[in-house]
Amino acid sequence: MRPGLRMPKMLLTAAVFALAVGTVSARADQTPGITDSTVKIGITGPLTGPVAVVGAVAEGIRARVEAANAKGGVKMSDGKTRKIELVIKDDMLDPQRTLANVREMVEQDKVFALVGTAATPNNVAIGRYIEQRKVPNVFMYSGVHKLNAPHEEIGFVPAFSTEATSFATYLKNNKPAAKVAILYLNTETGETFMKAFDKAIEGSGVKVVDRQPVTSQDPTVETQLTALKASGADTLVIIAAPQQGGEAIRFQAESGWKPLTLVTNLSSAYPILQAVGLDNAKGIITSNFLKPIVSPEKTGDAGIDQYLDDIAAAKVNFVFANTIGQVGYATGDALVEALGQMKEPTRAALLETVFNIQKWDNPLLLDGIKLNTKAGSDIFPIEALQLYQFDGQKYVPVGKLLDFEGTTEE
Amino acid sequence: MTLFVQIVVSGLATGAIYSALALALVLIFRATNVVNFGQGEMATFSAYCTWQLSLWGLPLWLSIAIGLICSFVLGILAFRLFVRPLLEAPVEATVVVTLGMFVLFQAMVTWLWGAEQKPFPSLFPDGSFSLGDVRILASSAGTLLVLVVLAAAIGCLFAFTRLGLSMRAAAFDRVRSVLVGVNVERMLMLGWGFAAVIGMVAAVLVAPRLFLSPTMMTPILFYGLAAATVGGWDSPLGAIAGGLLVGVSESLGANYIGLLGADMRIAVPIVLTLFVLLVKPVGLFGSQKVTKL
Amino acid sequence: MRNTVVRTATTIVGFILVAALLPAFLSGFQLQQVSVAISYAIAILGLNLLMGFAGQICLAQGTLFGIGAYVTAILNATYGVHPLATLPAAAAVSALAGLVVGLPALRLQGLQLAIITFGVAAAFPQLLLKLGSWTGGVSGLPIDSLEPPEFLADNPELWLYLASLGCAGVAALIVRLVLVGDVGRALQAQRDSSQIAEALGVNLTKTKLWAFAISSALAGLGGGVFAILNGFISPQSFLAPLSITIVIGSIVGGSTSIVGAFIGGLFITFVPTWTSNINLALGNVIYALALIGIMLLARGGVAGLLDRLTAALTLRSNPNGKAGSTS
Repeated sequence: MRPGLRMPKMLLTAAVFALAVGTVSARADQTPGITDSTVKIGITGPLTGPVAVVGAVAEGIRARVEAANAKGGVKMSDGKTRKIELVIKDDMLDPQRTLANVREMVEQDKVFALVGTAATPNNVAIGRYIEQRKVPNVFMYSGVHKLNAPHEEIGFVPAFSTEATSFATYLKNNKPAAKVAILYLNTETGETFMKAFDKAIEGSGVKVVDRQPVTSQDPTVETQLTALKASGADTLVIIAAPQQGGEAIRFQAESGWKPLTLVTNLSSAYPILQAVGLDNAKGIITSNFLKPIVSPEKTGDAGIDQYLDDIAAAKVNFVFANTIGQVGYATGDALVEALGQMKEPTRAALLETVFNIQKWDNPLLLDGIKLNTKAGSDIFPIEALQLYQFDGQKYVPVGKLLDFEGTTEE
Repeated sequence: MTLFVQIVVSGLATGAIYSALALALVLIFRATNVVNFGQGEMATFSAYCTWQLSLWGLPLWLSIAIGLICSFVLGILAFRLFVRPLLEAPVEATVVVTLGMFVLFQAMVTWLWGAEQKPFPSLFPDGSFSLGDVRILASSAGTLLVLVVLAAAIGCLFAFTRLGLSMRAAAFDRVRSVLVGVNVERMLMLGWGFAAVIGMVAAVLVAPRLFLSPTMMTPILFYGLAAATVGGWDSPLGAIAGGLLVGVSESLGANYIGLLGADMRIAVPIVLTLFVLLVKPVGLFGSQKVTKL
Repeated sequence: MRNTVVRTATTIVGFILVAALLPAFLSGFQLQQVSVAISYAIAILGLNLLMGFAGQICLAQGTLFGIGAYVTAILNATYGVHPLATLPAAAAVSALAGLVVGLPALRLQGLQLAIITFGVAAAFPQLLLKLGSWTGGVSGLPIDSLEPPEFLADNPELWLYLASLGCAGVAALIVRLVLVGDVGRALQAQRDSSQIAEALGVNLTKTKLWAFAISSALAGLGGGVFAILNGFISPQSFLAPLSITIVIGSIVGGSTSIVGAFIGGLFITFVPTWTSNINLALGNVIYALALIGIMLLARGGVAGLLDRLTAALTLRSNPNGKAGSTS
């Protein structure tokens, strides 16, 4: 290139570059991720790796969203009907990757909002970033709801403190002198649960005689369960991940111990009971906020039937009875509802809507449970649970719906 | 006292699982001088294939038989595609390739069958029997029995047969074995094939207890390596003994050393392995080797 | 001699050029990812020293990385120390920890050391949870964000990138100095044959411990940078597979190459995401195949490949200029 041309060429390149950068930053002032016909939503979750079972949340959301898109999309308050475009990324539950995915989805894919972000440390890891960028993180899959981005995020599944309180209530009413052994997940989930459980049994005859920690990396739980059995407890509470929880259910029966066993809804889905042996699971008590779905046949319940149709159409990678996938589907429904109800197509409006949910229905939630939140006082959309007991073949409800509306603490 | 015995027994049950993987690791090492970090995941993959066959309606024994043949072929394929090209390369390359196999097989399982855990039919009857107040699971006892028989068979193969001798020679010194007429490549291939088969047996034995999942063998990897080290990398029966020792010591440590508790119990096998390495580096049942300069 | 100086100078200049040009072509998010890759690269540099040059197979580099990250986080979150000021402490504490890990190495051979260090890597997350009152347990610890100076106020990613690069430069300098000095030669001698080295007067104990100390210090430094870049750490980011990933990065990049460490860092940071974006379900399969493929085609890692390429291009008569080839 002739020397004389080099300078102007460089200047031109610099100018074009600056213009491009300038245009990009200018566009950032408008609401990203939303056009006249689409709205972009991002999901990050463990699709592979040791906790890939939680990836079913993303799949469930996808099934519900694809069903909505098949009907043309979501009709929003400004009159436009928009299809939801999902951006799904894998983070193997590593908070560092969650942060990287969220940054990529916000800055490169330019999503409108995040939904169903899985696990507590992961949501904490992205907290500072989403507060800075004011990106809504709605309906997190986390049993701990009050994290570090209170203006941008809201949970969905009942807090584990709610489940713990429901178990404690059951024991106080039915086995007031219970000696309890707890197998707990050595994470936020387990800690939140135990704190609430201890608080709920305070002052009653129910006492905890031993607790043993477990992680999702543990290959077996023989060691912990042997110790728990040796403590002389007559009641076993299991708050653990599906593999370890299932092994614990099997142990309590096989070892001849057979205590009254209460299992978190994380580890009590029917496929898990099938894997450990239905006889071994006889008598266990669990909680749930979703309708029990035990057969792939239609039942006449509109919500369940629609769910079955939608997951078949979306070819999800989980079986119909997988409760985590069901939670994902319900989350997707809440998302569709929120997008339809927000007053303007802006992030602030979405947040306003999810912080003030007025008794929304949800196809998979038990009758009587509705989503409910209130800005400033109630950040828990679901605060009611039903207890069930397994009779060797299916789950049978025990008692009435326990409603803790408005009372959940963090 | 009963509690002590029960703790030991539950340690043995867990140890049997470690022994299963250790046996496959030792076999590959003895036959090809390679530590295959991907052994567990290859075994899981084969177990999944078996499971799929039984899901398609084949009776369990037939599914397992076909699965064994498939895993043999898989082992040979893995050797020819991934390991043979690196026979002359530095050992780190083979390490990375076996790590690559670890990722590959786990990823393939997740891709083909999803991440949910699935029930796997047990070869042994359900239930348990009691010795006094101590309960022993039929499946644990059965697993141990099968493993001991297999280990003994492998040991005999290596010690007393011409084939075993050829395989050991091929693993020990590739260059010189050719000179004495050993078809080195074929021996290495066979070694990988056999090891894959044993790996699959291990997976089929432990899957009913651990549930079939893509990461079924992953937490076991370290324990398998420790068990093989404690027992001795050139002793199949040592691998079994090593696994049981690791399981029992871990169980005792978790229950009796308050400082550790169940969550830090992995410290016990680490210390045990270190101890054995410092006191008798070839392993409790291993034999002395002479190193060339 | 002259050839080596020319080559080193060219490498450094080339490196600086690439490093300087990157921010112009990458978005803020991508630059942030490059910074994370650099933090891993610092740890990989340490591992190259330990594994590539000293021949010690250490599968606990992720643990030492995590220790550095937690030292930074604890000093910052609990004691209010400025993030950058925590880095020397992170390196020092990790070096000490590395010495503890290195002590058994004095008596162990390759495979045995690998297994023990792998156990340490597996135990580390549990240890973090056990020491919950210090480490924040499962909830993790936040780290103050690094405020950029006035003239970069709009571009915090650039500031973080420069800070990471600075630390990496220090790390590379340390490694280079070690290698050309007596310690480096002693390391390589004892890797090639410890018996002969000892016979020639190399103090094996001192050499091995030095290798562990420096390698761990670098891992700790990388971990500290990592913590600052992320603003939040929890045990979930430091599981056993991290140590394996760092080993993969070291060997893919070229385990005896300083430039290779950076290539390795980029590989382990970007390739899993790329393959995941190609196909969600198949992503890891593609990553594994890519990994195996690189090993089958490029024994000395990517750096080795580049070496052969430049040698071929410049038709140098003796392309074996890189100190301590791995064959």
